Amino acid sequence: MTDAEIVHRIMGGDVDAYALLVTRYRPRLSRYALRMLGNREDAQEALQDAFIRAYRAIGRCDDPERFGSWLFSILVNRCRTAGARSTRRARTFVSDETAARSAAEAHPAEQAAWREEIERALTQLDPDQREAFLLKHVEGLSYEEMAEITGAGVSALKMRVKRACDRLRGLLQEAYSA
Amino acid sequence: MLDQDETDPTVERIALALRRPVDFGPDVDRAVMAAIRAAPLMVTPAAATVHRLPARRGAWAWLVRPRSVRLAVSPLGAVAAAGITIAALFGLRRELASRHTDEFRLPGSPTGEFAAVPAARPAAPAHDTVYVTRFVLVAPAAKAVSLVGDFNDWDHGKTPLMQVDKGTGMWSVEVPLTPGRYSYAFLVDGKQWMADPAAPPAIGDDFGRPNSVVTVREGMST
Repeated sequence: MTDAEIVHRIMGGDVDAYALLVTRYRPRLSRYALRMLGNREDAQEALQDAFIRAYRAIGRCDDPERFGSWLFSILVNRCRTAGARSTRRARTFVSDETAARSAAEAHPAEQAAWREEIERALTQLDPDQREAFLLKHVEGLSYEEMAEITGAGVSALKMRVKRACDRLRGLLQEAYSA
Repeated sequence: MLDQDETDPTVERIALALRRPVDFGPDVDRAVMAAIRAAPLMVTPAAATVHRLPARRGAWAWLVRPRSVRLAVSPLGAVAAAGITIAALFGLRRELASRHTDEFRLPGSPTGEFAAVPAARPAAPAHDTVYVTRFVLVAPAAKAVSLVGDFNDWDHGKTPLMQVDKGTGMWSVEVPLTPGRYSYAFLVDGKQWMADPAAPPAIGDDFGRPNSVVTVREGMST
């Protein structure tokens, strides 16, 4: 069943149909929220909030075929809000245990250390840069899609991604040379 | 070159590590579905979307009893219309709301100005007090005004305002709301999105449009 068909069922009063969309988009959105916020509790809260807000505003989803993209934009905004809030308290660094094996790292211990350093470096980026890097390189969005979601211009987004890459490279180089 | 990072092997390794799957699991599904089942969308069946405000006016006047009125005036320089908003809250005690539930259940019955209210089910559980909030906009140049908000899924077709006085250009609609905080806005002539000039602005709207906030509190105006 397509997103649009599910959205139409929901608009017709079928509340339970929304569970199909939650299940469909939960994994991708979970990943973005955790990477963006670096904190499982905040990420889960932002994720749930995004799903509930999307449901409440589903009448405003102009193109139900692109429900996923619209939902993603809501999550991006929730993460911005949650991120601004969480900077006022100590950040808990989370390394999830569901990691897939990386072909680039042969030794499990090195692999875990590498992942940990990356996640630590990610939390040190400015939120704008982290957001742009994740949308571009982790979620694989085009700059046009990113512009639609974030409201920023393509040139500004390219600059943020570049600065994020430079900063990540610098932080990782620093960590491994230390 | 800004795009060179896309082929940088170090960046690709970083991205690969961050693409590992993360899933908070079905607990999220359960929490989300519990939240939305507690307050499902207010969906108006097609058979009940006829708007016949004048025909309902007498019945509604009998149904509700006004308790208080808030009135504020503010000019709207940037748009052709000038706006005034009144939010008048009328308390409908639970007994009354329950007693008149059938008013909203008649198959195919027009819901009048309460297009936001489901015809097939009440807007809120029978045990909740429902407060009727009147939204008023003065827009002399407008040809149509509708109310959009959290309470009607931001659907501009669900809650049209009726022009109550052509001389002053006053448009009005009454919406039954359970206690809570709601974001809303007016849509003038189907294209001009307007926050309520007399109400507090909504902060942190996800969609970049100016909205306002109305808070309905338990015990208000009763």
